[in-house]
Amino acid sequence: MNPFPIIRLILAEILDLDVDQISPETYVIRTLQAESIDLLEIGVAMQHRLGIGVDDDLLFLKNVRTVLNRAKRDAKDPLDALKSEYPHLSENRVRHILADLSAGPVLRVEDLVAYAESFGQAKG
Amino acid sequence: MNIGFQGKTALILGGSSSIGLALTRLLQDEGLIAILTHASKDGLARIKGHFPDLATGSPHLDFSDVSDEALASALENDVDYLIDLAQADHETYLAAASQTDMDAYFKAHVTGRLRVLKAVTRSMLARRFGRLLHVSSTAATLPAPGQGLYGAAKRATEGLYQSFALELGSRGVSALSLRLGLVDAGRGERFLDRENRRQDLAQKIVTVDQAAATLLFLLSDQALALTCTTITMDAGLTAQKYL
Repeated sequence: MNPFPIIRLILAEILDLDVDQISPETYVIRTLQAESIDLLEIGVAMQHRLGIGVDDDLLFLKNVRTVLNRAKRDAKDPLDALKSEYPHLSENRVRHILADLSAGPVLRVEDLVAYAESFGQAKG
Repeated sequence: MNIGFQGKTALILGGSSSIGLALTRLLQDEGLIAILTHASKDGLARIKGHFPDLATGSPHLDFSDVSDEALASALENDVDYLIDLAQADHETYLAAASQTDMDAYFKAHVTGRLRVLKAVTRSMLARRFGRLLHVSSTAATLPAPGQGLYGAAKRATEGLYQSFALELGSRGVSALSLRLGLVDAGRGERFLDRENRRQDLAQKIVTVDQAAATLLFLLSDQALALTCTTITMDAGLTAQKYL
């Protein structure tokens, strides 16, 4: 089952938006202006409505810069470091994140979808 | 004055305590559902002795060993109210405390408790209502010698409750700590009997019924503005310089 419609509905309810304003490419923090308390609620809602376990740090890509700083310190490839930390993201998506970092928080709706889908695959 | 309750279900941690059992009766009188946790066979037996029909559904929940299964069992029903009465006593002088005791006590009463609170509040967030009530102790600020671990854990717990209320208040979750003084039950009762202080401290004792009735009010809709803070109910025990 594609979790995108449910996730879009969750975001619309919590952020008081029209569902038409939300696509997979929408930035959750940069564009939708989600704050910390909103992210907490979004995680809880995904946990309850999708029946998945939620690790907020992974779901919301909270440690991207920490992971990159650690990779730099240890002279490791940043792409590999992010892929290892966030196995639910595709390589193309990780490449895009690396190119997109300077513009602000990178989290997009498609990342939430990928997390939910990977959980389903792990369970299956 | 009529008091009202917008929630229906109360989870009482340490439900087999005297205050927990007395509060259960009051909650039932108000038409609320009480779920009483226990951490030992003795606790379960006490619940069974007072409320046989509640013993079957009493979740086993021990702060020193909080498992996913235990949390799932405790949160099988949506919980609107959490009353936190669970606290093991461990009297020792801090300078005499063993490394094992120090680690275990804080792991259980701070970290283990926080794990339970996290699960409960995440459940409350989904419904945008919840009330957390921590039964603290005047030992949080005025511990007797030997109450160092207990008092420090209580004070840390007060901080956790305050922060939960601060962080989740905008989403309908409120929290309060009530510091009780000398209660004629549990460790208070043991103190009064051991030290033979019943007569000279008679006016400073909080009865179980008083404590339970106050907790009931603090859970009510009328008391929801009491949040993000700690209040004291000790019959004036800690208001004076010398006793």
